[in-house]
Amino acid sequence: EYRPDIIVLDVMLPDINGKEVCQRVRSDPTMDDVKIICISGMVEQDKIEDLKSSGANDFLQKPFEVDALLERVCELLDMETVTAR
Amino acid sequence: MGEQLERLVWTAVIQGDAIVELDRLLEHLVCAWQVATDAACVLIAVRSEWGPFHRIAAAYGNEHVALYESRLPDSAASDDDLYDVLSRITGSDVAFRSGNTMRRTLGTPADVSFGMLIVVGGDPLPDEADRRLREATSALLNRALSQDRLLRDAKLESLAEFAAGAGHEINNPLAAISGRVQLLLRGEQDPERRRHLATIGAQALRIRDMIGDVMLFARPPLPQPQVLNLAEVFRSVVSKFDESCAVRQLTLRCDCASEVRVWADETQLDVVLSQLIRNAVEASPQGSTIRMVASFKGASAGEWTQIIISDEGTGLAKEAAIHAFDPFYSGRQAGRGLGFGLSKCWRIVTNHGGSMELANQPDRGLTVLIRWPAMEQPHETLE
Repeated sequence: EYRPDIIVLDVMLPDINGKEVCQRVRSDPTMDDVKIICISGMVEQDKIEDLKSSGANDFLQKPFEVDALLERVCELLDMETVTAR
Repeated sequence: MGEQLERLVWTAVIQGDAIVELDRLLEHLVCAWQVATDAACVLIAVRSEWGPFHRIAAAYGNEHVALYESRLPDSAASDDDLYDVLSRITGSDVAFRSGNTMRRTLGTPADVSFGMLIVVGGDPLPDEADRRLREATSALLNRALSQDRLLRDAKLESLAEFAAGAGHEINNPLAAISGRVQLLLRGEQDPERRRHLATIGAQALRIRDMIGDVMLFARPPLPQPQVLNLAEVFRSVVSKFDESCAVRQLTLRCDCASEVRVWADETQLDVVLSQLIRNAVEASPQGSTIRMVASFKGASAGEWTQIIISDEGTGLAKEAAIHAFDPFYSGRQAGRGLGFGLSKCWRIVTNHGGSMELANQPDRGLTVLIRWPAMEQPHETLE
């Protein structure tokens, strides 16, 4: 029903993990243009690469500054950067 | 002499099975060599700074063990040259050496931080005794080195597991702290309170980066190297520090010819150079200069690239300099002092087949010397 332009996705979720969400989104051809940016406290490089292989367009490690998230979102959506301040 | 030596050699071999720590092994060897050769002094020459050599030298006292560190002239290109240079420096007739055998047996320069163990003074040993003592020494050192590596690998893997767990368990609460601080900052007008809130936020990010550094040290990603133009990399890295240098009135001077190149993973090279410049910026007094110099080195032109980054700060305390790359050093008090920045850099550089050393001048600054492959290196095997 609702098709977002971008999904900001946490990775460690209660009933499903972020990787699986990425895979489900990417398996739906109508969602091809939807951007996914994953956020997580994880530090393992191989798991971050795994997320990207599963369909994530970008990854931002927690904690992060809001402006950093906004910058990445604007980059992915090809928009002029906005800031929180 | 013959019987005594025989006893010592076999004692060393037997005890070698029980020796786990390299510094205990070295102490044993130094003692055995002194007795066996009736030497006035045992000279330990190291290619790079290494804690155990310093501890042994300190334990024995200067009259019995002289520690000579690695800043030898470039002309000392071979082990024979090194031997001759040391003879001239010490003013002694070096009667006995076994460094060549140890170095060839123990592997490539990139992964062996041993130098040579040279006995100064005393009479030459008979050939057979010489041969047996060399063999016993090599066997002992090989065994200790393998055990040390296993221990180190186990420590690194534990550290990686810790970092992985900490990454999730600590970074999420930090995100809560950081997020709310940023929300509070939006509505806060008072400059003093803004400053405090900004400090809280910055420290949360600092903890995040420290955990990231631990992981980068313990389990660095496999490098994907390519030939890179170092001058371009320098320009890109240096530009990130324009603002911080301007604030502190620091001059960041680069000297790198356009043809200098490195064989490196671009992201990891950036991590190393950024960390070292960040360290230099933080250490530098206002108005001082940070220098970055790069040039080709090596027996054949273009084999290695030497990168030197130096500051005019206070340098490191002697003990800290000795253990600068070792996150397991108990005196560091884990998590304090230098953090993992230098350890992380050392790990990346050595993973690429290079080496990293510090030239520390307390109260006059710190110089980091990196030797980085300029081209793809052939895979070397142990003999």
